[in-house]
Amino acid sequence: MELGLVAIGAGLAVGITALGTAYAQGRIGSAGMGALAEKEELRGIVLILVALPETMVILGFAVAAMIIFFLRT
Amino acid sequence: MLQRMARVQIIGSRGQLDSTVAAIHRLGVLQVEDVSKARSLKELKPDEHQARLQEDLAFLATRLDALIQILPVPEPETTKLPSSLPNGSGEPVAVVRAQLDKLAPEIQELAKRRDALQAELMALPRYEITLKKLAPLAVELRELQGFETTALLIDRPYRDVLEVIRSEVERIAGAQCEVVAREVDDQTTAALLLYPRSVAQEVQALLGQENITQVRLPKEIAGRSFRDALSALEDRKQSTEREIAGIETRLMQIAGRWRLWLEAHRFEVRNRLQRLLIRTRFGSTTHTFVMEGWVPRNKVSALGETLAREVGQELLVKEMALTRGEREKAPVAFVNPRPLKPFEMLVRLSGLPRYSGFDPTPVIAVFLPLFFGIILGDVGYGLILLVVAIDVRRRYAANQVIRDLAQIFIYGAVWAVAFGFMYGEFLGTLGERIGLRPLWMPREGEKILALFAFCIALGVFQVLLGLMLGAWQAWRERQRSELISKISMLVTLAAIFGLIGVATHFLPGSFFTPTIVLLLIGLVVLIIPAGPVGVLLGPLEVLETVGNMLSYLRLAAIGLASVYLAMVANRMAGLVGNVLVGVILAALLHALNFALSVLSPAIQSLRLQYVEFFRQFHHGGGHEYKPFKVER
Repeated sequence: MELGLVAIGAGLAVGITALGTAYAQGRIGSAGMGALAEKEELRGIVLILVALPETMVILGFAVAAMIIFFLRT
Repeated sequence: MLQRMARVQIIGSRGQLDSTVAAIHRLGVLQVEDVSKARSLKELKPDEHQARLQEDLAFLATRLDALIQILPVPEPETTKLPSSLPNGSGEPVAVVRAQLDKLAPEIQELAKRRDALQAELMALPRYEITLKKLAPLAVELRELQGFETTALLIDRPYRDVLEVIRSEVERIAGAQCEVVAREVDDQTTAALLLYPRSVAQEVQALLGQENITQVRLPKEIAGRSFRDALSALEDRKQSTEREIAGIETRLMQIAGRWRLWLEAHRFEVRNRLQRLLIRTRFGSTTHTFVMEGWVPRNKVSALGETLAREVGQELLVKEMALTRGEREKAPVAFVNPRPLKPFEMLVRLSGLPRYSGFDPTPVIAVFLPLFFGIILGDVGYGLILLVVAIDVRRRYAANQVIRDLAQIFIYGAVWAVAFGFMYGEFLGTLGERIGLRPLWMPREGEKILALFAFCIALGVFQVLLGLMLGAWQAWRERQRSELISKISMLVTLAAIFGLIGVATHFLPGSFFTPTIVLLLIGLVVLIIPAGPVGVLLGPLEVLETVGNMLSYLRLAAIGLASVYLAMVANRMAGLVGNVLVGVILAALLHALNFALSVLSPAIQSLRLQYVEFFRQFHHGGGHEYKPFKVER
């Protein structure tokens, strides 16, 4: 497959998932800070909730790596 | 590991109450629980003398706190133990109060004066700015006997009001007045009014009525000409600074003589107050008192022996037989070997484990630095971090949080150096140029796939470990549905791995049918306990757990980003024609990469522990063991 298309595909895989993660983390983060202001003992749960959407971009990275390594030839 | 706890009950005659409380306080191993409203006991109410003493001690503690807060910390050589310091027993309340009555007025007066002077010192530069703005106008006015001057600063949007003021002052003073105005900066117009002293009151009333803000100077300067005022302000500033320095010296003298005395008595007063307040948790009958509390199991005999020796053999100390539910309420204390202690802080951050739960500190102590090392994986960055972390630990030895964090970074840095050798990296790709060869797998090209596989394998291992710990914990807590859910998840995952093995020809094709059967059994057992929604939630949970394992790919991904940034730093330095500029540019980029490379791996490794690993077994909800002990 053409190298340029492979690169665009890999970029989109990481880029779009990164946007999704950033949007979700932004929303969860602001809500989490609000919750922490009221109840500090929730920090453990808030930390986990904020970190959850990161998996999305990691999976995007995995897909990008697969695109690069398996479609390049 | 978590400390095993025992619940003990202590019963004694009321005559033994004071000595029992004192002995327990000194020993400092018993977390006293409230039994005042339990088991048909009465509350142990303080008598009139105790109530008054309690009140006096609380008031003294507040006064001592206030004075200690004012006094500076003296230099070590000036701190000498005053001869009047009590040897642990403390002086009677009246003596401490009398001493405070002598000390407090001077200290408070000095602090009050210092605060006022500091406020003035902050205000003086504002007067200076104002005067400098008005000074050019003053030149235009002759200084006349019997005349008064008023200065005004008017914001630009309100400058029209100046015409109104001019016409009003002329109406009051007739021809004997003058108003000069000038733009002093973009925002302000300054104005000076000159009028006879005889009409001063009317002019002031007019300005007050119109709500015009006048420039008011400190009274020492107010009567002077503008030319004198500026130099007077400088004099005033210097004299204020001198006076503040004098007060600080005096406070330091007092602190050198009395601070230690005050601190010693604050602890003494607080401890005596605690010994009185703790009694509200005891129960009582007409002639006896009853107290209960948690004590580490290995300290039960020491507690019994101490009480028998210091209070008397007739005091009843017995370990209580507890139901499972009562044992669940036991407080939690960590007992880990010293090298693992810094990681306890990280477990606390996500909530203390329940008493019957598992303390993940040893597991975190192994995996967190390892993961950090896998991500950073650079000999150069690792060595820099090692030196910085050792220095921080030495400098901040007194601050436990910083010391613990530095220790964690030291472990991480050692792993980073080790993985740096495995990847063959020194400040990114510089390793290759100085002849550093990767011992295991370089982070470049298709060879990175081996690192991906290694990271996912680590994820599979840690998530499975978490699931097994969760199952073990559920078995210990007799939570059948939780146990079934964990085991069925393990069976389902085993079946999925089996299918992957068959698909990749790692396992023979004959394994296909048994793994499909295993997958169905695992899924059905996972779905059934959750009811109809289980049909949706069960498979979702499996997907989520697989996602958790894949999430460990970040170990490779984040590290890769750091490698490329380091590579860019080296290449950019090479592209610049000038060697010196190239070296500076590379150093700056490496410094940025180093900062990112330390922060990001730390957060990501911690996240893997909290989110992917802890969620399989860690529920939190424990409460910390807080023994009743003497404050130091």
